[in-house]
Amino acid sequence: MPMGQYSWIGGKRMKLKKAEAPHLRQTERVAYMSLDLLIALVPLCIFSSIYYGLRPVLLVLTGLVTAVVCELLGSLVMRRRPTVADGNAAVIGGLVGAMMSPITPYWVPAVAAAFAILVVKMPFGGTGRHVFHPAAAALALCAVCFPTRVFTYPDPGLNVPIPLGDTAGVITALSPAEQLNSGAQISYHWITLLQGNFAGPIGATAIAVQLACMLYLFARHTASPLIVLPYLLTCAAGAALFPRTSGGVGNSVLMELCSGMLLFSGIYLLTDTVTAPRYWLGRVVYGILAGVLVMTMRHFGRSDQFPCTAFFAVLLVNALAPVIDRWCWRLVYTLRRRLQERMERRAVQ
Amino acid sequence: MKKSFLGLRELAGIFLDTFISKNIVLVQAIGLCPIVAIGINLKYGVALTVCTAAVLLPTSLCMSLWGSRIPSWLRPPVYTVAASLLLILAALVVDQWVSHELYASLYLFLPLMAVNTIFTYRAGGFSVSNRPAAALVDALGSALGFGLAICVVSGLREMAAFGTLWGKPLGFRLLLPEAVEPFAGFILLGFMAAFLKWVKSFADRKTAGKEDPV
Repeated sequence: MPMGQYSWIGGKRMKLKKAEAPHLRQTERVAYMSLDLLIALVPLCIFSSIYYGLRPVLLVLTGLVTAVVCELLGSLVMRRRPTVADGNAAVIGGLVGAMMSPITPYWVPAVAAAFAILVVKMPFGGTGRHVFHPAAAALALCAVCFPTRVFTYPDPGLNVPIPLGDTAGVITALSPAEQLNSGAQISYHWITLLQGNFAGPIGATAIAVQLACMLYLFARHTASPLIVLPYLLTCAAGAALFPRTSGGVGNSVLMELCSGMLLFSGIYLLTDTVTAPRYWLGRVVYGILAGVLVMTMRHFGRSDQFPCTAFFAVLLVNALAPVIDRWCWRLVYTLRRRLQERMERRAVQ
Repeated sequence: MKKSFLGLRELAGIFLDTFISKNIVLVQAIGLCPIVAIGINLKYGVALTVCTAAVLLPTSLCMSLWGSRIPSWLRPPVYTVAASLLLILAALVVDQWVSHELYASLYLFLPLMAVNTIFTYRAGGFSVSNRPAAALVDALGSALGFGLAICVVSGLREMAAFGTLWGKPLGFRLLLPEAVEPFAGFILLGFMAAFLKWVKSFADRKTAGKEDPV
């Protein structure tokens, strides 16, 4: 067909719209997705600041600003056009900040965000090319290097804002994840859990807000339910089959799903479109595998040292994502072809 | 097929290939384990380089001389056993005449070195199909290339973690004790590989510009 402007479809002369190679329905899709994720982070910060004062907001902002500055620096060194405008760096910085404890010193999110951008994101080629989720890798670094600063959480029931400067005297509490790890029998009321009135990271406590943000991200097609739902179902199944606390299956599932960064990682880290598989079956398998890994680490991991392990699981499945994608695609393709062949053979007979 | 004659230029090419341009660690990603696991101070780095050279040179030479007479399925066990024997010898030398402390910290990793992929690739692959001179030069390049990577990594990690170099204080204290962890070794190696790639692309551009000026 000549490269004309018109074609004949159904006997009608129709005008052809010429579109350049990346056929996107929405312009600047990356920027929109980043904006969605940032919007979904805001309510978490607000909820956290209700319990702890302004400090959580400042921590998240520290991570965010550091990430953006590092992205600018990285672009300068690599002599590329700065890609700050796509918002990916801001999202990574914000996520790093949101996974900190409200009493973490300010330099920790700064170091973590710098690591995320300068070591995990930019060397692989910047936005859209990183193999591992930078925020998850940054948290893994914090977990290995300064676990006590990241995994010590203040008691939310004090109703006194945490001082913005030195936090030496703040009363700390054990998070549900640590209590589960130590083998304590715990049960929180489900309303407490939904409100996030328990010790934990800045963004990973208010369960109701996280669920609302999850629905928002689903509706905006920024997060894929094909990843999150299999992940959560697998975790729930693991919690139901191998409970670590008394109080029946329901209590075990509730406590496992709401403790640590399980839900947060599922919604914000696992669904990152760059590191997750693209194919639908690949996504389902990816989610299931992540869930299996999280629950396995909770049962057999070094839980005394790392109370939260969800980001390690995210990193591990990130590494497997391309393989999962390829295998699943091949599986479905082969099955479909065999089915087609059989149908054809029947039609001939 | 074995080449009948090798000039100095070819030998230098073989050496530079495994030493820099196709660096055994940074480009071919062979022999990462010892670097990541024990490349934490310069002394260990140098000791491991010497051990590697001491084992790789004779193994490569022997494989080049007699390797083609051994059936290919028998080669891996042969050079693994040969490398192990040589490493035991090297360990004895280190323990008796160099320093018992060094031996005490390295002894766990010397057996690992014996099944190192460096030997599989260089002694088992390259040497068998090449003349002894080429095999020796290749072994030397591999050992020094490995040495380059492990010395840079271990030196940097020693400086970052302990503020010393070759056991001597440098006057500053960076104190990143996490630099001893394996992940720091991997990250350093990754950046070094990227740096080498960058230098090579820079050099390629220069030579390309010389050949046909636009």
